[in-house]
Amino acid sequence: MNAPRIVLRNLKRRPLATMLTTMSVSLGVALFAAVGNLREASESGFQRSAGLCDTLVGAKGSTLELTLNALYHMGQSQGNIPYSLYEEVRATPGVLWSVPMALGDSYRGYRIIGVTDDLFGRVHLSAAGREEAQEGLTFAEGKGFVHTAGDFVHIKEDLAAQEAEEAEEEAEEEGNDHSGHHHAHNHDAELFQAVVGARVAEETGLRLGAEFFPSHGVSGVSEEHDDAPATVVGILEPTGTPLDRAIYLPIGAYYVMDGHEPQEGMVEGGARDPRGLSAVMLGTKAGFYRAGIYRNLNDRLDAMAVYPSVEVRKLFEIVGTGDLVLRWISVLVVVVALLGVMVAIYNTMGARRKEFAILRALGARRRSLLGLVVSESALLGFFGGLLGLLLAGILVMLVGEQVRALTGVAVEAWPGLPELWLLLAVTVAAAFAGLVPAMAAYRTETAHALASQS
Amino acid sequence: MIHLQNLRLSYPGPDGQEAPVLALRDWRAARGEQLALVGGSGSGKTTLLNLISGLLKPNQGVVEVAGTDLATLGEARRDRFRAEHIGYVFQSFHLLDGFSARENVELGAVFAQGKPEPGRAAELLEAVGLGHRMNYPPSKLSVGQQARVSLARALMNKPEVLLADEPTGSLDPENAAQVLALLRDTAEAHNITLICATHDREVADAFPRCDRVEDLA
Repeated sequence: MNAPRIVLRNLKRRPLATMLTTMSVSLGVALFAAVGNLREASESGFQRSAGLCDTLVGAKGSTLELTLNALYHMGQSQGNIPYSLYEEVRATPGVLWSVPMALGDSYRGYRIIGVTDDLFGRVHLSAAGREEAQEGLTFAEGKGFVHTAGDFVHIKEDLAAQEAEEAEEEAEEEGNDHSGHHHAHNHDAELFQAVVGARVAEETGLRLGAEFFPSHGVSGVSEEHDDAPATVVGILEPTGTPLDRAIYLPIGAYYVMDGHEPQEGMVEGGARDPRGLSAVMLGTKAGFYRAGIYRNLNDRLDAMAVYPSVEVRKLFEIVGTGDLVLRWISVLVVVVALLGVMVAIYNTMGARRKEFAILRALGARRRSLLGLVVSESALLGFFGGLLGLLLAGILVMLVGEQVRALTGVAVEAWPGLPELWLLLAVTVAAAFAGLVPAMAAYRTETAHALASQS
Repeated sequence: MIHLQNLRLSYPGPDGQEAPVLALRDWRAARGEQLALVGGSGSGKTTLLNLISGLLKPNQGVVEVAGTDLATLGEARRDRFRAEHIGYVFQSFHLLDGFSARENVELGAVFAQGKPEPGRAAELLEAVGLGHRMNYPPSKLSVGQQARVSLARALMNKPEVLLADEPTGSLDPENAAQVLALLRDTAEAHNITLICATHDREVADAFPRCDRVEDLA
């Protein structure tokens, strides 16, 4: 028998009070830790995804919306940028690589994005709490399609020529045969190759060699492009970014699909360019070049450039306000729980006078009694804190899974130094809360208490 | 072994005046001596035991136990002294619920300096005939058995002085006789000074020396 065992035994003697006070502390701690962890883990996950490229180019509008739409596949596109801009940007000094992006189709709710093969070789997966930073993507199965910017340019030019021809033919046949309108697109099977993200493969069961028909629109319920089955040639390793939740097709394939042809009122070269681009991901030389590219693009009237990492930071600054409120609420919950610990222990003091008097008669100093009661309280705080961190871990895991399912962003949080500090803080705070009842134990008049019980 | 001299203890009364509780001129007990303190209710028997154990500090006088004047020590040092030199058996035994018989005995050594001998609590319980009830909580023991556990606890630190406050007060005559015999035999076997406060004349008669508290002033 020793003092710690006395403390533990005393807690065990009052199982209901011990359980309730521990749980109340744990709820506050869980809320506090979960809010903090979720925010940090989400920001870290979003920043990791934002790091896929350093600059993003898109149509004028909301910078945040462009980032969310192009990188996180959330919300709607704000419009297209002209194809000519892509060619211009590619040739700009300081641009190391560029990936044009065409969004607008989907397969079973997963977005299909037209890209060039630079996506697989050049995007940057930052470390951000994971293993090591890496350039380019790795494949779990198969490999990426080959579709360079040059291929895309040729297809784009061929299409323009073909459409001009068709327009001429139509003009000639005007008044004779209106039903003869058709598209003689070059549906090259080689072009309809798809690379799928890890989660898409997992959820849809798309394996290497599988064929599927993209649906027009991003809702996944629109009609299929039944003229153009795509074949899966590669499955990406999980990245913990929205890349996991997307399907990638050669951008050239996008332009030859039925339904993507120009419609009336669409003007080549503008924001409603039917074959413009949703966005362009850029890798640029850091420093002077990057700043210059950013400034020049933002000076234009038809496009803008954003730094995704800055946008994500701004987003989390906004979210941070709500997060702060939640954190304060959770602090209040912890404080109320600690008051509960204090009251619960204090309420036992009357009944425990005899116990304290006996311990004093056995040689316990007043200070020892103080220590016993403070330790009980601290232990309740410690157990509550520990349970709270466990609950927070479960909560973060569940919410993180939801965030991942919605955005592809991996939200992972492991207990670290901040959690240890939190546990220590709650334990110390609980010890302080225990001081009030402990003083009652300290003041026990032994002879009087023993006499009144005998 | 124990020497009390010119002892005076008083508490402030409701009117602010000091109300005398105990006054004692000169009183001694030798090492290994066994004696009974008798007196009516409120005569100061328990107060005297509390002074000898250091639970109370006199307003004036000397409380010398095993060569140490407890009246000159601070509370913490008196607590330490009590833990290491004095065993106390209470009238209602004051065992702690939630702890087994053995743990209650072990509690006797928690606040003393140094580690108790391993297995000593079990040995003591064997010695008082409770080897088969070691893991029982006090509520599952008879009153006589509780008295034995209380005695074992008091002996845990090999005390030089054993104080017993009405140890048979809540026992039937048969159990009372057994507990009393156990107390006396144990004290004799270990050369412990045994002071037993009692209002029971029969119990007092069992001791070779019997002092009336009222006569000590």
